[in-house]
Amino acid sequence: MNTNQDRLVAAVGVCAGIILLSILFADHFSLPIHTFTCSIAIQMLFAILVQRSLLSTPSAKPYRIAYATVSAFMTAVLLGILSLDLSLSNAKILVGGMEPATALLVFGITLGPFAYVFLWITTFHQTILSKHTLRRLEKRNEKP
Amino acid sequence: MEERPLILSIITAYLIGCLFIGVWASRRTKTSSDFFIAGKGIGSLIMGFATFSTMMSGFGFIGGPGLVYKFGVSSFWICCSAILGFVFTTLLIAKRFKIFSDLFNVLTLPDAVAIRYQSELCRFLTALIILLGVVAYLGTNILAFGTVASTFFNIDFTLAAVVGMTVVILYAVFGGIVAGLYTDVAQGFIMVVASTALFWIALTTTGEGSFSNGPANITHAFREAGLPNAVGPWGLLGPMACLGFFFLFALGGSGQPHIITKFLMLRSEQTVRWSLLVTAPAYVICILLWMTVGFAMKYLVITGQAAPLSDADHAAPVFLLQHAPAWLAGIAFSGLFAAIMSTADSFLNIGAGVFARDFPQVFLRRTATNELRLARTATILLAVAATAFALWAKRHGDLIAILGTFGWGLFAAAFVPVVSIGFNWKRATRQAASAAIIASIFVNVGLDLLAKYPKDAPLYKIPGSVSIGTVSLLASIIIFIAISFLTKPTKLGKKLEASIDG
Repeated sequence: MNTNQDRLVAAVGVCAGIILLSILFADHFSLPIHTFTCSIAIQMLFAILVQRSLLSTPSAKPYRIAYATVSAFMTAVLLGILSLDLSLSNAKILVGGMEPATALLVFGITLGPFAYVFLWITTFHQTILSKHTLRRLEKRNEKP
Repeated sequence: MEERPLILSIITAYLIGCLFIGVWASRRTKTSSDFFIAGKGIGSLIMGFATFSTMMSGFGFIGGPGLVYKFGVSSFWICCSAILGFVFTTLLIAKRFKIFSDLFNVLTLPDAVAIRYQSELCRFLTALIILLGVVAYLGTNILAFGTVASTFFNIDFTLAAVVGMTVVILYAVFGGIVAGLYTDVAQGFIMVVASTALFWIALTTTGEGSFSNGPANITHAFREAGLPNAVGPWGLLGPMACLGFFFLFALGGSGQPHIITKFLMLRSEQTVRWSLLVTAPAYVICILLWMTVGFAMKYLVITGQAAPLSDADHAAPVFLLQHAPAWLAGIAFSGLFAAIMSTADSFLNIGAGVFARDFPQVFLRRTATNELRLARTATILLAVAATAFALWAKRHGDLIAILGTFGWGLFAAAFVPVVSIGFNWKRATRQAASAAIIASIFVNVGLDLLAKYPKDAPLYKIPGSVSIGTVSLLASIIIFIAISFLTKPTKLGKKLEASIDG
């Protein structure tokens, strides 16, 4: 495991292992423990993969933090669904005609990823494809 | 239904439109590059629409409402997670595949895998998985087509399935992926219109005339009927099954060959920047149908306004026939057919690529002499084989959505580690890639057999109703990473190294 890249991929493997164990041994732990563990491991795995796909140049750093913030937000949504379900299941309060946790699922999981879409578009040249790389690729594709 | 001729006319016009696009596209399909990757000339708008309409298959339009009817909110975790799936697919693969298609002569996914891992075995295994998945997934879509068409036209299921596939074959054979992409755009547009209208009708019906009362009425009706969990965040399948869906469908999208090969077709690197802006909103609109129609149909059954369905997959077509005005039913049925056909043509195209491009490379060590003709022949043979499989599956009473989940799970387990991780990680080795692909087959099939046999007391079932695809995806990721660390890294050429770093 020589590089930073290797360590991050190893972390992905560890997260996958935790998710797998929390599924296979779900019956041995209480519902909150295995669902919270599984949710956090899933979001960690996603967050690492997202960070790994971004450029690691110094100029990309603030935008990487923005991506990490969105990952944290998505984790909060998932944990929020778990918490709301545990505390407000079958309660009389409805949000948009749905149980609060169901509403958070419908709006949070569906619309939350649009923050990634926004970042993808607005920070494309800083985090995905630098202008230098783009010029190099375009030059290569020019017909003689 | 008195308005049936109007509905039939709209559907016929749609099918003829698809054939016209096929004829037009056939003039633009002169080489195998045109047939498989549209000559690398696809812009953002086409790319965006094609990606979402390919993703929203019969599984989404028929199986989705069917799953909601059967399991309640549980299936929301599939459709809602898919938005995240688009994001991850684009983030992990778009740039990498575009660079690969520019630097190497890549026409198919097995092509890209063979170059990345410098291994013909990896090409063969990738091609094999694609064939297995294509037959399963195509079968799902044919089943969906047959279900809708036979319900509506009151005709034999086999006849309905054969007619649908004939139209797909005609435009897919002559127009290749160019026809597929442009029909996808038209089909995508129809799906968006149909979904929006049906969403409105479903909630107005359950709200007894008031759109805003719809969700609350559903929630109350389910609670009163003793099904409170169906409207809770985990539905009737429970939290672990739903978290499993979330993982499988958010990450699994980046392992679907019919979606990721589209990144090989892009006109320029800039195209990937904007396509997501079309894909994500269009998909969100389409899942409104998924989320509401199944609930609306169940609501009508619970409140005694409709008879219980013999098959959950009939939820969408039966709701359409009973509650939509004729003109909308025509558009919506066209939308249902569009969802099915747009996915089917993509699968036929990647399946044809296996026969025309990859198997000759593996077995003859060279490209076929007439790749284009071979691709067209393979498209026909594959469609016939998949139709036969679908008709066989129908006799065994499998639910459409379950087959769809299996196809998705197999692709996800095989290609997420090999492509999404491996194309972004220099240390990934060919041994690891081969092992992950082989494991995906064994874990998927093995767990399925253990869960079914012996019939009276199955040997093993995954706890919490977690899908087999989720477990096999996790297993293959772990195997891939572990073996990559345990085996000697493959020496990459400068060009290959640059394309992974770039």
